[in-house]
Amino acid sequence: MITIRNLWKTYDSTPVLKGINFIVPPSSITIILGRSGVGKSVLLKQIAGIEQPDQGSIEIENIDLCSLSEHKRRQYTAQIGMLFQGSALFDSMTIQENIAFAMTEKSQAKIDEALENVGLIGFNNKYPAELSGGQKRRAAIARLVAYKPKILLFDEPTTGLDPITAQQIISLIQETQRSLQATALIVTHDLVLAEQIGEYFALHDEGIIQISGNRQDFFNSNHPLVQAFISGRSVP
Amino acid sequence: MIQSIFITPLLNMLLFIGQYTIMVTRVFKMIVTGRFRWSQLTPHLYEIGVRSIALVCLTGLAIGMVLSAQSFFQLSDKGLTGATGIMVAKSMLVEIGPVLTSFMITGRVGAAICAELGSMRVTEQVDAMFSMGVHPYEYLVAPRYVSMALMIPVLTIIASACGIFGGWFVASNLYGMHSQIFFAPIALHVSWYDIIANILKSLVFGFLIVSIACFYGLNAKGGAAGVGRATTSSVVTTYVSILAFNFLLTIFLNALYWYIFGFN
Repeated sequence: MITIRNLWKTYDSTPVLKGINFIVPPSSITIILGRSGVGKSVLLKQIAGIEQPDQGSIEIENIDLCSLSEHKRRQYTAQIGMLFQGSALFDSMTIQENIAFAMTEKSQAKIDEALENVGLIGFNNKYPAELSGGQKRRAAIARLVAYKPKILLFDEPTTGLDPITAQQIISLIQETQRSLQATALIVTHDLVLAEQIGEYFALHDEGIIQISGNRQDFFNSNHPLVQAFISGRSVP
Repeated sequence: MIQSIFITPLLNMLLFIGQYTIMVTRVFKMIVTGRFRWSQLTPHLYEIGVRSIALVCLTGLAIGMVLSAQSFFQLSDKGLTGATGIMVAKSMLVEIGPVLTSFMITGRVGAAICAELGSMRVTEQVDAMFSMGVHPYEYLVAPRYVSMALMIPVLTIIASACGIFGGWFVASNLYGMHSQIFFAPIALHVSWYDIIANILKSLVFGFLIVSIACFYGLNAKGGAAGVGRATTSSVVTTYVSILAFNFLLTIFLNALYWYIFGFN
């Protein structure tokens, strides 16, 4: 379980996160919906330990990551895997090297298995620049799974993909979460993805979580922002 | 008005120095404790060292030839052409060799390091590395520091040697100077101190090249245009720093020489 309390983050005097309070239930898929540019990716970066919040706490298994030294924090954040919006594969490495990068025990069999799971058999020696957007996303998932994280963070995993490829990525996310029994947190503005695999939902707007709950509570909510987001209307 | 002209740039400069110092301190700590990716040394040694040899040879050779031609020409009407060799050798060893090699390495290696790290930063590859429990300093920065420290003295010595060779080639083949007249004063007046000064300067300049390039690269933002801006700033800052540190090191080394050997 991830518990976020009163999380603040400011860039150049502009507050992006303004006191986020939120709980991500364990071994489930939680979706954070929100318009582009509201700071959803910033929230993920705080959880992954890539950036440090200005204020507040992020607790994983009741340990506050923000109060730990950097060395200890990295031991905890090492169990978190993140899929970045642009895949973030290392350009200078082949796909095989990308996958092997994070493996503690490197073996060809494990690399091949990871590639097979995402349908990229035979792509071992290709470079990221030789792959399409969907293939890159799948290779990034293979890299993510290779070090078996307990917490999976996905930043807009289907953005920029055609509907068929997006569907493949959605299935892969679901399979990955199930096989690892991991806690997954997905930030997106893709309602198709959200409705298909989300178990718990939250709406992020104006730097705070406006509403959260399970599928039924969330989609039946009368909250104007939720209704506006679902119907695609402008916020009243 | 005063704030925008004086205070904000001053604060930005202090922030820059502070962040730069923190990065350098952390990288040195990693190097001293051996906590970095040793496997990355070989490719960087090759990229920084081996692939720069031709460039520094050519540069050293060209400058040595010009120095020799100019020295011979300037000294000929004063009857001092015998000093051509020592002028070329001293200039190449203590001043032009280290500065020029560093300038060449800044353009060839420093700019490439900054552009590569900057590109990795804006495409979230650095964040991805961090999220996988690998600190970017361990993998991307520390091995480059070590490789630069090992290779730049070698490159500077090679450039200086090529410069002296080029100087001799011009003096003996173009102006008919006997090789012994060119080399004898060098053997007499070039001391270990000059070679130590050469190595010390190259080490300081190498540190400036790699640390400034890594700092600007890892702090790049704003897409491809941001990487371009970071690379330009990195190269300009490195050039200015090398010139400033060259002056300070020259004063320091001269004072040290007088302290050790006495003022003649």
